[in-house]
Amino acid sequence: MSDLIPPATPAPLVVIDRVGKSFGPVEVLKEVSLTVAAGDVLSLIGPSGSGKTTLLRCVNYLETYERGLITIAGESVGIEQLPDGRRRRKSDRQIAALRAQVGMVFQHYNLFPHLDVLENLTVAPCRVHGEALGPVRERALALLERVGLADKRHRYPSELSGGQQQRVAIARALTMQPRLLLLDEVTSALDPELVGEVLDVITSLAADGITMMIVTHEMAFAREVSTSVAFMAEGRLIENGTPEAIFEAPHHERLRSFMQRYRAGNRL
Amino acid sequence: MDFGFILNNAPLLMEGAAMTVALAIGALLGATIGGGVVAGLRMSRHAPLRCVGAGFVEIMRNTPILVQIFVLYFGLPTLGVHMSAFTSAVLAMSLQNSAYIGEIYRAGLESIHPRQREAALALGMMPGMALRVILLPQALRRVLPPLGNQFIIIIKDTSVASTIAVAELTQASKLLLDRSAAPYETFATVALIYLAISAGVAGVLKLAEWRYPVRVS
Repeated sequence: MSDLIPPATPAPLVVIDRVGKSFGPVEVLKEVSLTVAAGDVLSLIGPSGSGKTTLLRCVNYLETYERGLITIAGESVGIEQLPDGRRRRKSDRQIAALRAQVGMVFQHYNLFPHLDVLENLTVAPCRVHGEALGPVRERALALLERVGLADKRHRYPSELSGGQQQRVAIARALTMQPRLLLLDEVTSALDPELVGEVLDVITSLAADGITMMIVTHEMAFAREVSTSVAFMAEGRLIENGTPEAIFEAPHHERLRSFMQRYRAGNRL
Repeated sequence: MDFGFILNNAPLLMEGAAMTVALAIGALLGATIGGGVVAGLRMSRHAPLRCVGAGFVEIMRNTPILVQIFVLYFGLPTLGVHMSAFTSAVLAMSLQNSAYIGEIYRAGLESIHPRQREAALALGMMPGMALRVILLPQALRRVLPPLGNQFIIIIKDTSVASTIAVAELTQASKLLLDRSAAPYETFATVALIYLAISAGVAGVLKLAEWRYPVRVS
């Protein structure tokens, strides 16, 4: 290895730079900085109320943030920084265009109950991108096949189990061909016996190199699927690193006690 | 019982029924569209617009339809605004029912969980598209029953237009009454015609409920 030529490291896809947010007097995000490279799977872990879901929702601007800047592929999320230092909210059109490139899967699936499974997948590509139904349908059916639900394509969400609905929600996000997928506690609302089927789908997406940011309480899953893990507490990023470093050699006292409590709870 | 008399005067009744239908169509269209405006005002991001919407609703639903028609038909001409009896009746009924139907729309939209809007926005939809494609289709399905009620109230309220001499069904029945002494036959027939019109609209709404069932997830 030569010291003279540095390895080519592409610019990260997502850059979170000293992001801060307050709900009234409560600071929910404090100077959080993180990067996610294309193909990375970043898991955000930490106790409830640590700000990890808020941070994830800032990445597609479902939440506003007041300080710092998030960029995706160099484009700032939600706000533009004017030359004189002031910040201005981008137009609805600009914000929507960015969200169209960022898929999101929610804790409560949020499928559209008046549309059948296939329509849930095709509605956004057809309406937002103006794509023709034919090719979108092909893509949607392939994705349903992939999550094992092709036979349910004409069912309505209310006719599916929670695990099935969440797999449809993942397929719906992917039909938009996003460059980044955000997953917000996607197994927290599921019965324990349905968690596995959803995690299996996500694991296979990670193997395909889909860039993901995952908020999760499933530690074993986070450790297995992630390329990096970030631990948050009280709105701060406390420690981040490889899964091995975070789970086996945590530095910070806060993370150690979190891991201890987790292990005690799971008798690991 | 003298239904021969009714048959002899069927053309008069049919013309009256046609006018009733015309009034109803005008008021239904006006109120369905006006209701959208009212709901938009009531749910606006801007407080002054919300106030305008709330004020309109309170004025419209707290004064009798008959008085509202009189204000338009007898009151406005003193301000130099003249309109026909038909226009006055349709406008008054449109305005009042915009208030009711606007509240029905609002109730429907507010019953849709905010997560639905969030999911639509997260897929890259603009707020207007999220409303059109995701929220309204769900909200309208839920409000079909109260909307049907209101449509039927509008149809029956058209009879108030007889007080300003619009030649609708109730007005026709009063004319018939002057020509004969058959009040029972006359009003029974008129009641049946109203029933037929209302039942027809109710049937269409039932069909819509069947075709567009409410689904939850």
